[in-house]
Amino acid sequence: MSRSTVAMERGDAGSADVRRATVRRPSIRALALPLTFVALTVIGAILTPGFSTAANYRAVMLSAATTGIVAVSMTLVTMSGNFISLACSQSAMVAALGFAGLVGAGVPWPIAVVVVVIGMALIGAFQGVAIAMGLDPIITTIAAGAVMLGAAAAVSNGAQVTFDRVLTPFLSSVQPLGIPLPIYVFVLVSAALGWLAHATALGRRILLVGANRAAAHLSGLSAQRVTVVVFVVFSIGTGIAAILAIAPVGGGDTTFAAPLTIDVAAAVIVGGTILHGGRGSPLRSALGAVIVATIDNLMILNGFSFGERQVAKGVVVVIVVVTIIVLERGGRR
Amino acid sequence: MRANARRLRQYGLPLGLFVVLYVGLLLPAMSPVASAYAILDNLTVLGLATLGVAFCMIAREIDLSVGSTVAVSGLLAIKLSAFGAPTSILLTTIIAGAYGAFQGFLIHRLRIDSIVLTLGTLILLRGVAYLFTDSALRLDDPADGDVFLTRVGGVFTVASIIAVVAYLVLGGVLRYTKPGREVYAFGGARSEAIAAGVNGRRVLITVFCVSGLCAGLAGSVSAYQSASANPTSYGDLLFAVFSAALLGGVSLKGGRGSAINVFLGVGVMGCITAAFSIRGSSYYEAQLTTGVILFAVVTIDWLLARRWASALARRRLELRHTWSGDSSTTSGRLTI
Repeated sequence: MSRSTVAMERGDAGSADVRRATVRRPSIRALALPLTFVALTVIGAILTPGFSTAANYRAVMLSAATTGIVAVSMTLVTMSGNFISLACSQSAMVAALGFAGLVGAGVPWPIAVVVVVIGMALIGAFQGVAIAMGLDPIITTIAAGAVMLGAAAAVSNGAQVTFDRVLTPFLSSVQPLGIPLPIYVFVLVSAALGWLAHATALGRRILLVGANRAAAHLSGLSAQRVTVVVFVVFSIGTGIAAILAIAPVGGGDTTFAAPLTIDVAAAVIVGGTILHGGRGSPLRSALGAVIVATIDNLMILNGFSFGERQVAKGVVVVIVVVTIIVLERGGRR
Repeated sequence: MRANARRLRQYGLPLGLFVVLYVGLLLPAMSPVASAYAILDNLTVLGLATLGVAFCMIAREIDLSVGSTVAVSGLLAIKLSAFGAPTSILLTTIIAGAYGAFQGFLIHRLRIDSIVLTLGTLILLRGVAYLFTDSALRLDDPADGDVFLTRVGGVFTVASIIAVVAYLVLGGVLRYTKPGREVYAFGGARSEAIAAGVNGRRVLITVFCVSGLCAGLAGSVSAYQSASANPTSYGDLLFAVFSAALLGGVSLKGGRGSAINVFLGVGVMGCITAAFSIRGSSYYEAQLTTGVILFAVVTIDWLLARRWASALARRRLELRHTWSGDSSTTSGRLTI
């Protein structure tokens, strides 16, 4: 894979990358994302009737919330140089069905939440340990995804797992100030992980391990430990998002959250996090998720088909990826 | 002796796995002819797709977009079916190959990581598939596809013969020609290869072109076989492709693997799929088993590689003691 070549090419630039990322000098790239968002909203409000209503903004945020929570937790994985997990959908599906099964079996919902979160932490830790040992992150996450899907299908027999939404009153229907719970959690998780990434020693460690593994090793940091931690955080975040997604629905089968992996990847990429690590921000991934949801929403309101919306998502992702690479090179020369 | 150890790791593990699964899982349930047919049947879609991706893996690159490419190719082949089956399949394969070559060119030109770009094209091409249609596309005359299902010699179909020919041709190119050699050099020890005059652009364009060609052929032939194509299909092909390649002994770290490895890997996958489907268990249980086997094999391979690397490091140290110079026997491929 050329990832390590890229890391090698970076060589000394790695430490500069870290400095640039941590000093947070406002640059074109830092402003590009919020500006894109503002432009999108303004253009949307002018051109699309029905876009700038409170109900529609709420719908955009709600659809961004699940993807956003996962994308924000995933950003730490990406920043630490472990690409992205290609098993987002399956992790979320396992957590959601696990929660549904527990609540359906009569377990009180707070206990079910705790059990699912602990279970997801273990699943994340397992993948993190495998990758820390030296297995490839892509293979490990894809294989873990297949195992999770297979296990879930075997346990549920491919049938719907349902529960009565009356049992989860807080998660399913509480809307403080008229705003659904997932949006609060999305904001909270973004703030917490943004703080973790930018203001704590662990955040610096994650960045350094991602930017230059050799330098991190020489400074006495354990890339292994960082890898395990980021996968545990990612897994817990995915579990929380999955619980919030299934609570209002009341059940699902193994196809639950199937498009999540692609949406999360799109959000992280649009947020401008470098896929080979060393730079990135959970907050920008959150904004990325909102931007992707806004584009999707604008296209739905303008009557575009599902295919056209997917193509638009793909085009945006490819353009952003290429632009970042080109800007990066221009900046380094 | 070290060459033997290497050959054992490259071919022995997958061959052993294949034999164990074939004798242990498949033969008790099926006749030898039926089991051979079931395994060869796998060669058309999974086999071809894996062969293409294996080219990329040997060059130490990755093509994540293979599933979307196969899906789009299937739809394209049905759209072009007015020209007749051979022309439609040929055209689709050429278009997919040209697209792959362009992707390789971009990866070289922009010096972009292939994982990153193909993650983008994975999303993009899936959207393109939905642009063709929201539901399934069908052949006007389903009988057009029957020829690809015709059995030849008991164990082959016309489709699997096409795949076997592709294996022989591409495997030969990889092993016996200069461009094929360059793929190994580029993947195994990139900077040394470039220093020695290997044209990186040509290698990248070649491997991604082959990946596109294989995906195009797989998608179009399989669309004719089933007389339909669906924009939702092949979403999980990537897992099967990686499993087949890795179980067969192709290394993600580049420079290791051959068409025989790919064939063995696809055979292993074929054993698992056939054994589970004949027992009437769900497709997901086969996936679960594959995932567990993959974890096990990758871990064993990793342990072997580590042991091998430490033995090599020791040897290098001894050499340095003897000659007080750097040993010339080390190659980039061996460092883990």
